[in-house]
Amino acid sequence: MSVLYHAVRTPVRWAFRLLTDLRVEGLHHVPSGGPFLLLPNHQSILDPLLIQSICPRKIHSMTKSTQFTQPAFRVVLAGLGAFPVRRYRVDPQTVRVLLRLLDEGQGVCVYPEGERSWDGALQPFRRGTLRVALRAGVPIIPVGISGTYDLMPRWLKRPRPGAPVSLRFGEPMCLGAIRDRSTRDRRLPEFERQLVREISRLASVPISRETRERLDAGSASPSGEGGS
Amino acid sequence: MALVDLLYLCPDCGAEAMEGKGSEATCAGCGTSFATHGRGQGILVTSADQGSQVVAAHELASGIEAHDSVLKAVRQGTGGVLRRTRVLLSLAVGEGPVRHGDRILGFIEEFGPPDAGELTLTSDGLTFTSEGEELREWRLAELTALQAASSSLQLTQPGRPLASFRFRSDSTRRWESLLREAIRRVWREAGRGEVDEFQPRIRAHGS
Repeated sequence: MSVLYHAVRTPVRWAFRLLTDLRVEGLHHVPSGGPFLLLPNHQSILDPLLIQSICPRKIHSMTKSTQFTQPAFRVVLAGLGAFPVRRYRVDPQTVRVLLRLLDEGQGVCVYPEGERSWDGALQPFRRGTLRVALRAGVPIIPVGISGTYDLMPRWLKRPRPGAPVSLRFGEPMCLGAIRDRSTRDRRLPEFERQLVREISRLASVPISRETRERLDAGSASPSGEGGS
Repeated sequence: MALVDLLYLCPDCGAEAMEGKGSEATCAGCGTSFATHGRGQGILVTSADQGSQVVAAHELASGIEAHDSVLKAVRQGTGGVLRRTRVLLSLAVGEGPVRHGDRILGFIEEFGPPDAGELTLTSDGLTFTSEGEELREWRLAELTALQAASSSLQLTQPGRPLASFRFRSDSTRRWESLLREAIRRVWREAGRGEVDEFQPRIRAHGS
């Protein structure tokens, strides 16, 4: 774990414990060694800090490229294990970096919704993220975050301390690496349904209308590869 | 960014008269006020007759969509100007690598200087008119990605630079909803299917 990561992690964890009513469950599901993929819901800009401060292992987070615009932020984010994803196009470099980190036995966090929820409900998952998860063949840990929406939703600039916050790690899903693309595409709809259900349960958040419609249509469908 | 970015219409009466800053908003039409609840878990809604209740943000957001006449016009493909607002337009001028030590972690877009102007939504496209009268147009049918950040929207169209619009006096969330619905309608009418993903590529069910 880098010096910067360690230096930030401890005070942030204490800040969460002091300023919120924080509950953590299922931390034992995070493997003590080897690669894994965390897939949490995304409610707030504070979510990555929460996860990184609580997880015993270093977590590399896929982060939207616009966060890296300022040179100072770029240095800090890279030091904290973040790597950029261009969301306006399929980004093969991001997929390469993600798979390389997993090959090296690291823990990686990707938010399958691709962005923070405006209203707290669970948004549709990006197919690219689900495909990479199926391809990677590492333990996939669904994570439910609740309360950070009340602490600092995307429409507020400053946090409002005091909200109860919970972070729940689900049981790892071990699906094996699915290298064949057509097999991956066949497995995608059921994997998406399972993951949406589990993350919604862990986070105790409602599933958005758009997400429900997509699941009903069974539309996690073929085509396209890439990051979210 | 503020609560009015989420509650851009009054969820109670549907009036386009929301006022407020930060975590508070009030409808100048019916007097209902909205504020983030002390210990989270919803938004405190106090109506003009002083009755109050805590309502989940997603329930309020659904109520807004039901009231939004512009959204209805977009869904119906009504002609003419559907919405107009002041924005700052930035166009990508390139991409640069993000390095950590000797590794390339990825690439980020680099934008040119912002240009102030007005963004107009019609049934088949977007028009930006700069304060210097320069005109730029995007046809909805040709867009390949749409993504929202906190106060800006980005559009991708092949052969053109990535365009980023920062909203100066309107809700980003509202424009995101309007554009999504407009793109869905254009794709549906062109027989391209029901769009259900907007980034990293606009895609329809089963495409």
